[in-house]
Amino acid sequence: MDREARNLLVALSEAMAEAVARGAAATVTVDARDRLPATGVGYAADLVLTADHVVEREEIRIVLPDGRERSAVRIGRDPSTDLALLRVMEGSVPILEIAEREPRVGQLVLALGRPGAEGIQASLGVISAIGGALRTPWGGWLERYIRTDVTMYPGFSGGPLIDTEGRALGINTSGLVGIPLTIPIRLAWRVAEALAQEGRVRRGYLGVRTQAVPLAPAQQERLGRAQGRGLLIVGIEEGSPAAQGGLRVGDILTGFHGQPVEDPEDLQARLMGEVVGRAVELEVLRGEERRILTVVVGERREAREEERWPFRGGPRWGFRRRWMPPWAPWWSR
Amino acid sequence: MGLPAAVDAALGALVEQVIPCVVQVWNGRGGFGAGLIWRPGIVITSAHLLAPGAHRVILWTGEALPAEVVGVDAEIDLAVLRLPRPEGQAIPVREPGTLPVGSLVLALGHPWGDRYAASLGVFSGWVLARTRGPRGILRLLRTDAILAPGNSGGPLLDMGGRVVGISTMVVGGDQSLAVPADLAEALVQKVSR
Repeated sequence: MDREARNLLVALSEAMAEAVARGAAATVTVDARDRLPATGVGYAADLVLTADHVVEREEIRIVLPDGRERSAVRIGRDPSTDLALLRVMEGSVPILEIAEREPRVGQLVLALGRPGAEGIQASLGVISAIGGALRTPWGGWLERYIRTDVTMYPGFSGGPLIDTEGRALGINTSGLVGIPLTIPIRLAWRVAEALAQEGRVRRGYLGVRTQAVPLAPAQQERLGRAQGRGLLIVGIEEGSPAAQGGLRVGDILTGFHGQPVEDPEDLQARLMGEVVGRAVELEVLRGEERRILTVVVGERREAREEERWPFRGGPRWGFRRRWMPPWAPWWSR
Repeated sequence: MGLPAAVDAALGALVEQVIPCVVQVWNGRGGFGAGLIWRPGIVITSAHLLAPGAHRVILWTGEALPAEVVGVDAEIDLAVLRLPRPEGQAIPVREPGTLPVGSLVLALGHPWGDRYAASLGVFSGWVLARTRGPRGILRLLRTDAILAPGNSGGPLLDMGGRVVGISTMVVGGDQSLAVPADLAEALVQKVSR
């Protein structure tokens, strides 16, 4: 039994190394800042996906796993998920394989990075938590994220989190909220697709502040379906799409273009992508009656650098995106 | 037996097999770290553990022996001690260059004075360290196995029970570095000639 058991360990170790090798084949160095370079992954034959916060200058150098160098330009960025898409000027990059299965808490994972010339770097851990929607300090919205106990070495931002078969589960970044997070691969790929098409991610804007409230049986009867919760409108911005569409404070939003809306995350998820600029039908309960209002969804503007609390500083100050607590003294800005 | 239980049992068997090779090295000033019996009567440890004066080695069996320092290479932070009698067995060595990134590694030592603790991680890759010695640049193994002061001088082993490195620089929370085993082998060869 002893020998058999030993072989099991050796086999496990080799399988792990194999997974690293598979993931490493599409993991590249992204040298776009003056400090330690960071990591990126192949999204398409000429596109590299990386973390937005590691791209700090115009000339971007990509080093492929085999050591060849390429120059690249940034074709799109999405600060609210901290992703940027780079186009490689000549030649091609290997494409990352993505996992079919959903990530699960407790699953063994490896984080990969290629921050320097020493080759691939890896570390092992488990998925600690899969978090629901997170508001990022950039005024952004991350609908799902993965937390792991993997050691993220310097330069791991933009690298993949892989499963034990070498397929990507997400993209690691530590520039989003100050702690290392992983952006789930489906979300990352969707952002990358939008960036490849138009260089940015369009997010819809209604101009309402909402709060989830339970719906009474009588209200559910009005809707004609069983729906436990709706969104009470507690504030409307002046001149916003919601104000123009006739929403009022006190309405309960229950549906968005035929889909039920039960919590703010639902609404945020529906506001991504295609709907921007289109007229949508909002189902609201106003007092006793059910109404359908038509609202033209606006586009949310990204916060400007100086509006991004608690990040202070900007190009004017010679450094970017330094995190500062709000009570930091004036001279540290 | 399920797979995780089998892995557990295998790890237990591995630790049981290699732990008699690990010793405590006391430097005569009350400090101690780990050491590894490289071949009978020869112990390899970290140079930074040593102090002027007499050194003692405490074996896995609990027996304390006086040790004589026969070779020190401060640049690679390794030292060779000789025991008064050929104690222990030779440990198999794996050329660290053949270890692929992502392989599981086991570290043994006495972190924070906790005797005979094991930690598991993967080989994270190579790091280059600048030294002030004749080599100039050193390639070190990096692992995400948690090491702490007291692990210094202990072995880093692959899953076959072969030594791939000697834990050396315990930088802090997330960085653990080890000197490749081939350098240790070269040092032992040099001093035993």
